[in-house]
Amino acid sequence: MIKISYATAIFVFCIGLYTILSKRNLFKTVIGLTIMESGALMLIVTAGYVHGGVPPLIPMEGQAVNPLPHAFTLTAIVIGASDVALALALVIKVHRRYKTVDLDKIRGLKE
Amino acid sequence: MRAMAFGDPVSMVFVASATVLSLAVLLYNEWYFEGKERKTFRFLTVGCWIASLGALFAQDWLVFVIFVELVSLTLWRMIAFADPKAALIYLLAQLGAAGIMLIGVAGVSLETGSLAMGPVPPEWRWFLLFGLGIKTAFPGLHFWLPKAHGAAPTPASALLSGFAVKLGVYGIARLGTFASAPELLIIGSAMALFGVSMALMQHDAKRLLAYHTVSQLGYVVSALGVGTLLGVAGALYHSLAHALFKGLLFLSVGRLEKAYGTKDLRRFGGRAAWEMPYTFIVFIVGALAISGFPGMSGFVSKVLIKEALMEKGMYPAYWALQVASIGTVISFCKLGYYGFLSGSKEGEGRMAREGFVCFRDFSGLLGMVFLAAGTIFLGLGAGAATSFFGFSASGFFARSDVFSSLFIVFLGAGIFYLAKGFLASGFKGALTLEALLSEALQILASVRSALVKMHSGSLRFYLALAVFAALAILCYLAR
Amino acid sequence: MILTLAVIFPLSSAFVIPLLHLYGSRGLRLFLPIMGLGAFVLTLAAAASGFGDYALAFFGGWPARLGVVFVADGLSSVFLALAAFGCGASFLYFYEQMGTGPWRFYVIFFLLQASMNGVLLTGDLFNMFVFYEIFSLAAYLLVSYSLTWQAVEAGLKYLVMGTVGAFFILLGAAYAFIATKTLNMAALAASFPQMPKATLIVIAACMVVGFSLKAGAFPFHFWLPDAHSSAITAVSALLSGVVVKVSIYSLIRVSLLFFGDALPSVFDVITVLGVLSLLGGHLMASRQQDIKRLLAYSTVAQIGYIMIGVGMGTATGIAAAVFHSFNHMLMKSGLFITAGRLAEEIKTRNIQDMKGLYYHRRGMVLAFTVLAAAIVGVPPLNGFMSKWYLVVASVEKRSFLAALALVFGTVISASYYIRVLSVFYTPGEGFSEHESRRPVLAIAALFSACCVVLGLLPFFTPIWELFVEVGSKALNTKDYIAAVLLK
Repeated sequence: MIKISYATAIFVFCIGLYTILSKRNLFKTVIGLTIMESGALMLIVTAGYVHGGVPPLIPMEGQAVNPLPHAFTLTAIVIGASDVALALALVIKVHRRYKTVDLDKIRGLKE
Repeated sequence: MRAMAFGDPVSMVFVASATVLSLAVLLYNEWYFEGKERKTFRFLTVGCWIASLGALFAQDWLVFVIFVELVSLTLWRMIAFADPKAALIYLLAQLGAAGIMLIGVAGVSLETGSLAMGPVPPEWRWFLLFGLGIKTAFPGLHFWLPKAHGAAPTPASALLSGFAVKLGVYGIARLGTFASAPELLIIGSAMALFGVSMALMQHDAKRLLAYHTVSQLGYVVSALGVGTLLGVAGALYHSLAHALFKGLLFLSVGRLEKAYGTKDLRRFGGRAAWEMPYTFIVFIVGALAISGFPGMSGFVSKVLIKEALMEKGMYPAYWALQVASIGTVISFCKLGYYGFLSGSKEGEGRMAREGFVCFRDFSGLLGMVFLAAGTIFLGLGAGAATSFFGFSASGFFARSDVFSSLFIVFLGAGIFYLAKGFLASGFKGALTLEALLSEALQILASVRSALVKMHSGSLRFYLALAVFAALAILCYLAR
Repeated sequence: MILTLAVIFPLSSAFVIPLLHLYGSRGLRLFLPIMGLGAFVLTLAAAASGFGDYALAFFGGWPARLGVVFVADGLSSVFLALAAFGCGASFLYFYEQMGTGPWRFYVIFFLLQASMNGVLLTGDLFNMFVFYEIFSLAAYLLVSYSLTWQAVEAGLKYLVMGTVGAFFILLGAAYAFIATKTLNMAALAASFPQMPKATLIVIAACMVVGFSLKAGAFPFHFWLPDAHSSAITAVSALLSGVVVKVSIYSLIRVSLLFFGDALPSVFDVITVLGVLSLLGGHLMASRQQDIKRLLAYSTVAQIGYIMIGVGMGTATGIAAAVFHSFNHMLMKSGLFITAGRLAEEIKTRNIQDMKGLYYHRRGMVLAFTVLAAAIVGVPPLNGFMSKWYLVVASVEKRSFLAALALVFGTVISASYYIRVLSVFYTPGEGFSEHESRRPVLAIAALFSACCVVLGLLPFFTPIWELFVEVGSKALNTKDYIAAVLLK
């Protein structure tokens, strides 16, 4: 069960990476970044999984799941959101100059 | 850490040669340069002298390398006045040499725990020897030398041949004191022969002298390889003598170059003996000294070296040096003949006879006369000079030595007389490493253009490369 | 206390600046210098507190296993001092040039400084990632601050590559957390040697790739020349001088603490990356016509030098890497400030158009010359000394290829810096006849003087022994674990 969730997380991470590598559209690149992030976060969340655990709230009945990864995930989501926001802002600025969001045409800086 | 100290006789000999030569070059500069350049060269010559004193008084290898680098930097600046490209090659070669020496020095300091100059463990000796070999222009590592000499202004050439390369010899002398080193013997004899045979093919006067520097350093290196007191003394004596007479030869060729506007032996016209008699006289002194004519400094030092070789029974090296001596005589006959004598006396005078119009002319000649006097003193006053090294010089004017030297001189002159026509043409040497070096540079250039192609500006490509590298790292770690 | 203040003070400055701006520019004019000075002093104080012994700061009174902890030891102290000087110089330069007008810049700047101090001080892996991301975001913003098309494109590329790198780091942290159920670096270091080999390998690969992407080592460096050359001068100096060094610090810290005993082959990887970036950076720099781009590629190469030192994994190697990091901060910040200022004044960055600059901007070009000589490794300057120690380190480890690469790289770098300098000193015409303003000259002179002094110091003082001590302390993971966990 837990192995499958690990595999899924890494699979999602790789999908994100593949999206960035294969898509020429800048927006898709940004989407790829968020997919990568989700993969990594899924991995962290799974780490706190306890079989048959209950939510870690104070009147606890039975064994609670590890709450630490949830806190990490929340922090990381905020970071990811700001990354994406900045990326989109920059995409808009780039679009103003190049009139395109095709990554292969945005090659003003080279060598 | 005691980094500097006043040296023993070994460093004092080099200090003496550096000081005398710098002084002569300073005088010569006054004649050679004009205006602002003259000021800069004054400054650079003094800087070069101070840096080389630092190298000679250094007590540890690191400080030695640092000061040798400073010497190279000042010389680079001097050469760059005439030809930035050749200067760059010179500087890069010196930097590479220094870096390789530093690797050796680092090894020495790790193994022995001290940086003190002196014999080093055999494993690290090769690194130091390689680095010093570039500085000393061992055959195969000499690629920078003819280029730098060919391009440099004459005073810089004199300094370069006179003591910048000697700093390498000084390092080698420090590497192994009084221990026979067969590799040095082999390298030294090879250098002597190689330098001479290359010199015979040159028709650029300064390149010819540059290759003679290689050849004469071969004597010094093989004398160091003998490892006896006599051998070391011969090496030191020859270094000092060579600094003086090679400086003298460069300066006199520089006067020819300035007067006729060329360095090509075939274009000098050969009337210099009549038009520039004073230069001709000091040139003769230098040429006789380098040929080992009795009574000159070269005679004493060469006899010392050959005696040292004979004493230890190292006949192959001895004969190699004899052959090199003959070659030296031939090529200086060639230089003297085509540079000064080949033209007719009554040719149309292109220039007035040299004279002393002002202080500058006088100063330029004074520098050379100074060196010539030193050369003759080292030859005639051999007894006084050698007693400085701590042994008597009796028997240097033994009849057999004088005769064998004279025999070599006349043999060389005879060969030159017979083969004059052949040598005059001067063909290009096939035996240069420059071709190999340029090949290496081409490979480097193609690597670079591949790299440039990689920087295509395409983000996806960059990321793909990064992912491949990441996979490679993973594979390496998981191996 | 001082450790937390070193982060809190610049962070709160960043938030106070917009408020001050709301109430007019007078407050800004009054407080900005105080903020800059305060951040400088506090960072230095934090560095001083950690230099001798371990200095610790626990948040909320929780012990290290449960809460977040700040640790300052010799390694982070040196890097804190580096960050303090680099940020201070770049702040001064920008303040001198622009005054208080562009207040947004200062917000990002202080954010950057706070998060850098955080990365250098934190003892918690996830906390490090968070600070790392804050400082990367600030860096992306600073790169694209001028909003020219080059800056925006470079910022975007930097962002995408940097974020991918960050996710690799996050992935590594996640694996480490899964394997050990802790994220405190000391606790992780204690439990890493018992971990199964496969897990270790994956974590090591993720970490090395992530930090190399952020630091700009060779096959991951593509964003670096774009970003460092397109940013405004003050930012270029900051990025090349300090920001990449922070990534280098994390690389040193993580590789020593986690893999020093458990997986020594990580150091081979770091060495190879170092050699590659050295050669690649120098080769690319040697054909640049744009002076800032040349300097940026030279930064790639210098990162290679530092990584070779790290890859030796010995006390000497770490010490040489740290020493070279410090020297490179001085040299490259100075070079970017002088070259950037010259390029701004004559309105071109093309080297060929700078003919004869020496005769019109004597002071700046002289400072540039000294700094360039230092970075090439001309003997009595600091670049030579740190390269010498790098050679000593690599010979000690018997990796002659690395040592030869160091020498070879130096030779190439000499060739292209001489090309630049010879253009500067060739007589030429066509510049307005005025020298740069005094304060800029003073900064440039200060940098070059530091280069000379740091080059001569090792001969007269035991400064090198100090660095070796830092290196050996950084190698001693047991002390670190004990100091953090047993308090």
